[in-house]
This record gives sequence, structure tokens and C-alpha cells, in this order.
Amino acid sequence: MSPELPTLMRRLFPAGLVGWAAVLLVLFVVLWTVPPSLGSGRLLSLATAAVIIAIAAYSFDFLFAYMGLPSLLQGSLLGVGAYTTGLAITRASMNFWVTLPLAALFGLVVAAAIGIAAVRARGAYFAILTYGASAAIVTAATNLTALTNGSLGLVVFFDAPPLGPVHLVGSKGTYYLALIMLAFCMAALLWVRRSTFGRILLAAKDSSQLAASLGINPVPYRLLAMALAGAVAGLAGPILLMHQRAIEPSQFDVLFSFQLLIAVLIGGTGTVLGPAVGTIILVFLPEVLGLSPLAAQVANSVLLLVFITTMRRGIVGSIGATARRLINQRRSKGPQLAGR
Amino acid sequence: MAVAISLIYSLARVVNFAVGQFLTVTAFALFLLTDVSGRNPLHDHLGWPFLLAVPVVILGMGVLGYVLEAGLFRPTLRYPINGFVVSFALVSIFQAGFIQIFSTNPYGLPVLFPGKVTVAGAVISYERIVTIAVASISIVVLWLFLVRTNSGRAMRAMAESRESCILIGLPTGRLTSQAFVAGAMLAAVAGFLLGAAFPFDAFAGQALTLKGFVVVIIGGLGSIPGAVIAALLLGFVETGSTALGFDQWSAVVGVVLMFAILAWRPSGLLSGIESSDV
Repeated sequence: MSPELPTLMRRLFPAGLVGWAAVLLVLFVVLWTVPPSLGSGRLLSLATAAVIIAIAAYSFDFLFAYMGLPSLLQGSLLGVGAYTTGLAITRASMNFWVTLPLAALFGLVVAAAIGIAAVRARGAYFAILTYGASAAIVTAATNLTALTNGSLGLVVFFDAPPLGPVHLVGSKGTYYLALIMLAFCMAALLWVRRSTFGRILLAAKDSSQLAASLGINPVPYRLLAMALAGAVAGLAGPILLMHQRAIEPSQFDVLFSFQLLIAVLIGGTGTVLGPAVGTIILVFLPEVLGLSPLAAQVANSVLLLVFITTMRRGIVGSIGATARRLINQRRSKGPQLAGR
Repeated sequence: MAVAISLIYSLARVVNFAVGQFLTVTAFALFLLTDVSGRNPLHDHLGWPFLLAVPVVILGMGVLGYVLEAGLFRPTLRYPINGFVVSFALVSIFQAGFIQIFSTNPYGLPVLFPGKVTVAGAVISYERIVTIAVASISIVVLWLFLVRTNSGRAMRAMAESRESCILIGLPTGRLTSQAFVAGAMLAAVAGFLLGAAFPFDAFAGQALTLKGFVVVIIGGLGSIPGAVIAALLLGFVETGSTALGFDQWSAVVGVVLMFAILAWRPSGLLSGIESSDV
């Protein structure tokens, strides 16, 4: 995956969206063909996990980069989605496919309910509020034992029934589904960003006073964005359940949301590919280095500290900025806007 | 105790998620230095007396506070949102370290002041009295420092507007360092009191951090009287919910209280500083 490619494509396709569509299509084809060809062992399992986490990372970055809302809730919303599907299947014997929109809906509703109170705050205050909300969700999932089986968690064995001609089988099936979901969520979020709605969000982030003077009250827009991101995070939940087969409340605590933040900041916040690149590093680096989960937790945090003090734009953001600077120098045009 | 935690935030101005971990570090460090029961995973028998260990650890935490401020928080000062990211990374690192060294077992400090006294029918241990006394004294000392001394006044001014302080020539960098060191040492005192009063484990810091933030937000960021009131309020509500049989829900109770108060008064009970845009 060559990160210069996006910048190149942007030069080739000034319309932007067309270029991105082409890049993402190529990437998608590569991701679609390569990991499953490596067999269905540990590597595929990690790739599946990375794709699922990437979905949640995009939902985090959607709020963070475009609204300055660092939500420590997204990981728990993924949990909400996973539990929705798990309970719907075990308690109500529902069809897996029916539970997907249900999981998105629950993620949306929970995010919106918390957002009503939280979106009036911004920055670190918003982080504190969502931290609290995340802790409340995990505590509720742990203590409502009658519903959720408490800290023992849920173990769900199910196969997604055939959906028309599509029949997902085994770990490769899970991987394909995760990839399709990622593509769907990325396309949706990208589309929203480019829409009038997305531009209003960006305006409200950069200068809330200016936005207000134009008669735009940013708060309902933020709430809407939070609900949308909640739906995306919720949608990742069922696939995680399908991948892991077993879930428990504590895996969705605030440290999981923090992993998303690490992925986004390492990869580059506000870039199209950044969260995915960051997630890949986050998932595969401990594996490559052979670290224990605890050592991996430390390594990820240290990596984050290194990035935040020396390379604030993240990998994709820095490469993009360097490439733009080189192009600008060659064309000796005036400085362009830095890429956020 | 929650009061002591919360004061640090109003002082340092950086939303520091790692303070809860500072408390846990203190408690574990004291345990390592003073333990005589042989449960020490690093060293068999240091067995320092408490009177020596407590000041050493408090000073050590001050140094740690300075190192972290100079090394990690100062480069992020221009982008305040990154300060919270840095502190969260520290939380994650500390917690992994605790689990590595101490596993997930609960630990406790020995009872320092045995005995109890009966006041109007209620039995209170000396330990509790000492805890309350030390906490109150710390708060009063901090309050006096902030209101009566020049450094304290400068810090409060800095909390209002860093730019104006730079304009009138205050050494803002040094003041921030001082605030961090003071905050870390205060956290050490709180950690000592906490370790003496309750058992603690590798996850204690996370719960403490949340509690501290609930208190700060309810009280109004930057308002010390607000923090005191909020801490008492939270204490009452949590005790009440425990008495009603909801003791596992104490985290939820605090968060619900926080959201309820915010819906009613968006900048906290006693708003010190505008809490919207940071």
C-alpha cells in the first residue's frame, strides 16, 4: 500500500471524489484477494480484526477530525452493537442479517442519547463525558447479569444464513463481510464529509463563532454526526462477534476506545487512509515483534507518545504534507492549506 | 480524598487523565518500600519505616511530575487536546506496568494508627480521623497558596488567560512546571491516604480518574470550592446508593449525576472558568 498514491491521484483527479474512488477500489481489490490467499490461519484472523477495528477507527476519526470531538465512547458503542446481535441471536433466535441494522440502530440511539448531553462540551471535556458514559455502559453490561450474562460474557455460535446467492462460510466469510462493511462505512463517511452537511461540520469546527454568525447552530449538527458515527461503530459490533464468537463487557472499556485513538493519530487524523494504516500498524506490529498483550499495550502507547511529540500529522498526514510541499515548490505556487 | 484528586486538575489546567495512576503509583511505591509481610514482588524485605517512606515517595512523585511535564506535556502545550492524549497514553502504560509487576491482586498498606474513638455513638477509627485531617490540611494549604502567594495568583491568572500572562511577562513555562510538580505531590498525599484507607490493585487508577473527573465537572472546572462541594455530594450519593444495595453501580451513579448536573448547569455548580472551548 503506497501512501503517495493518494496525493498522486488527487493531482490526477482534481474532482477528488473520483480519484479517491479509484484508489480505494484498487485497495479494496488488493485487500479482497491477498489476505484470504494466505490461508485461514492466524494471519487472516489478525487481518479480520484489523478491518473490524478500522471501521470503529473511522467512526472515531469522523468525530475527531471533523468536529474536534475526541469520543472515548466508540469502543463501547461497538460493544453495544455486538451485544445487540449476540442477544438477538441467543434470546430471540433472530436471523443474523436482520440483527445488523438493529445493531446500527442501537449504536445510533445510545450515541444520540449520550450526545444530547455531551455535544455541548468540546475537546477534553467531551472526552471526559464520553469516558464516563463508556464506563457506565461497561458497568451496566457487567451488572445486568440477567440480560447480558455479566462479566462471563456471551458465547455465540452461529453461521450467517445464506443471503440470496451470498453464503459466508468460516473465517474467510467473516473477513469478506468485514471488508465489505469497512468499504460501505468508509464510502458513507466520505460521502457525508463531502456533502453540504460535512462542510457545515467542518466550518463549525474551525470557527464556531463564524458558523454561528451565519445562522448555523453547530450543536444539532454535532449531535447528528455523533449519531451517525454511533451507527457505524455499532455496525462493526456484529462482525466482531462473528469473528470472536465470544464477547465480554470489559473488552469494550475505555482502553479499547483509546486503541482507536492511537490508530487514528498514528495513521493521521483527517486523512482518508490514515485510520486504516494506523490500525494495521496497531494490530500487526505486536505480532511482528512477538510482544505479549501487556507489552503491546505499552508499545502502542509509547508509539503514540513518539508520534504526538514529533509527528503530529501521523504517517499518512506527514507524507501527504511533504508531497504537497514538493509539488508546490515545483510549481512555485503560493502555500496551500495544510491537509486536515 | 476525591477533593484532593480534583484540585490537581484545576491547578494544572491540562486535563490530566494520569492523575489517578499517580495515586496508584504512590500506593504501590509505599507498599514496596514498607512492606514486611513478604508479598513484595520486587524485593524481599525493605521494611522502611513509614515516616521515612512517605516523604521520600512524595518527593519522588514531585520529580516524576516534573519529568513528565518537561518531557511529554510541554511539547503538546500548543495543542491542548494532545495533552489529554499524552496523559491517556501514560494511563495505559502505568496500568500495564502494574499488572506486570503486581498481577491483579489487591494490596493494602498496614494500619498506621490503630484504635478508635466513639463520638456520639458512632465508632470512628483514628485512621479515618488522620485521613480527614491530612486531606483538610492539604486543601487549606493549597487554597492559601493559590490565594495568598504570588505564584499561586499567577497560576490562577494563567488558568484564565495564558496569553495575557505571557504579555505581562510571567514565566508561564516555569509556572506550569510548578503546577505539575505540586499536582503530582498532592496526588502522592492523596495516594498515601487512599492506600491506607482502602485496598488497591492494578486497576484502581482508572476508577479513581473517573471519579476525579466526575467531581471536577460537577463542581465546575477550575473552581476549588466547587470541587469540595461536588466531592461531598458525590460521596453522599454513592454512600446512599450503596446503602440501597446498588454498590456495584457506583460508577454509573457518578456519571448519571454528572450528566444530570451538566444538563442543569452546563458549566458546573460553581463555574470557575468557561468550560466549552478548550
